[in-house]
Amino acid sequence: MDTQKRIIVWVSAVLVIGITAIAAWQIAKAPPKTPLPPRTAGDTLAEPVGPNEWTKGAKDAKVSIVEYSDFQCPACGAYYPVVEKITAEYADKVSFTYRHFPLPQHKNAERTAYAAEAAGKQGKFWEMYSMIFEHQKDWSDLGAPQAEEILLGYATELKLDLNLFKKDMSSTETRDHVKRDKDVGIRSGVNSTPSFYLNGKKMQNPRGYEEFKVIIDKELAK
Amino acid sequence: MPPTISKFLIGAIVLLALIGFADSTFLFAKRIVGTPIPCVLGFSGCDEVAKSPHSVLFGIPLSALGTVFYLAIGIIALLYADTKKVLLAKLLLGATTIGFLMSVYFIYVQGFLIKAFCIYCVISAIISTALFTLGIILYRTLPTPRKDL
Repeated sequence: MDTQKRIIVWVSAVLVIGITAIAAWQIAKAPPKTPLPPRTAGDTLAEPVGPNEWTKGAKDAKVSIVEYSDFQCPACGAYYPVVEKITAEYADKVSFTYRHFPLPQHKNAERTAYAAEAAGKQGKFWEMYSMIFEHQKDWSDLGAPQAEEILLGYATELKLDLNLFKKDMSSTETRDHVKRDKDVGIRSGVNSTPSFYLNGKKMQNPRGYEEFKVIIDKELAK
Repeated sequence: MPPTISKFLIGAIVLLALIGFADSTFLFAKRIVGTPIPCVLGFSGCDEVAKSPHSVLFGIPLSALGTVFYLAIGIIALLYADTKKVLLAKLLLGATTIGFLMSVYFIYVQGFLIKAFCIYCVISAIISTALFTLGIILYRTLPTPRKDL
């Protein structure tokens, strides 16, 4: 073997070994993906509420409500005060879980979902959730840079670490989380937002606070 | 033996060593990171095997030994291609024999002591066996020393 060929062989060997080692390491380091649950008949949750979800209210509650929602959907915004009232009133009897279901026609739905997740990383998911819903009209029609700026404003108001917030908003982990919520939603038969599940069963959307209350009371009395 | 066959042999050894290296490095990294090892292709005992007390030899994780082993095989094979020194081919046969014997033992440990198989370990055993076979073939291509009477 002549010197030139020899150099090429050994340099490429070192490169290949290095790349292989780094690749193997990266694959090993990636967080394990939980497999998606099988599809249900369309009226039950495909996956029960887990410990790593955004849940507020009573622990081990007799009644659990899961909402599949899109921050930009007007109906979800309209249900927001109802849900707030219900969760406040039944704080010791009912648990409420929020799952993302950003719809493709809402251009800022994913962005806001990422913002809520990023705030959640700093322990302020519900604060950001309220902020986003309460100001839904302010950002719904904005383009990406302006919407981003408004969300950063919310983060500032919530006294979040802005650099970390920005990083978490664009991380693969955040994106994967939101996507997984939606995938499980599709498998649970979600076809519009908001979709509510009462103890794992899809419910007819109540027409307002009073009707919601009646349904919960009935379930609590069971 | 024509040089093309010899080249093909060494190429195969280097490639197998590289796959074995990736496999072992992955297991070793998993051990350090500490996250569970997902099984594929119907295997179910990956984590059980990789975390069993049998996965350590003299305080060194087997995956680390595997990484060094495959790296050494690859380097020896390349050195042989480079220099054509008979000693290196003999070394290769010796090393792959040890690798093969250890793999046989690990398969025994998985099958009879842990009673679970880990696909990454089985892949490693298959590669070791293939390397051993290639090591023998390579050794047999060596010119036999002529006895002068």
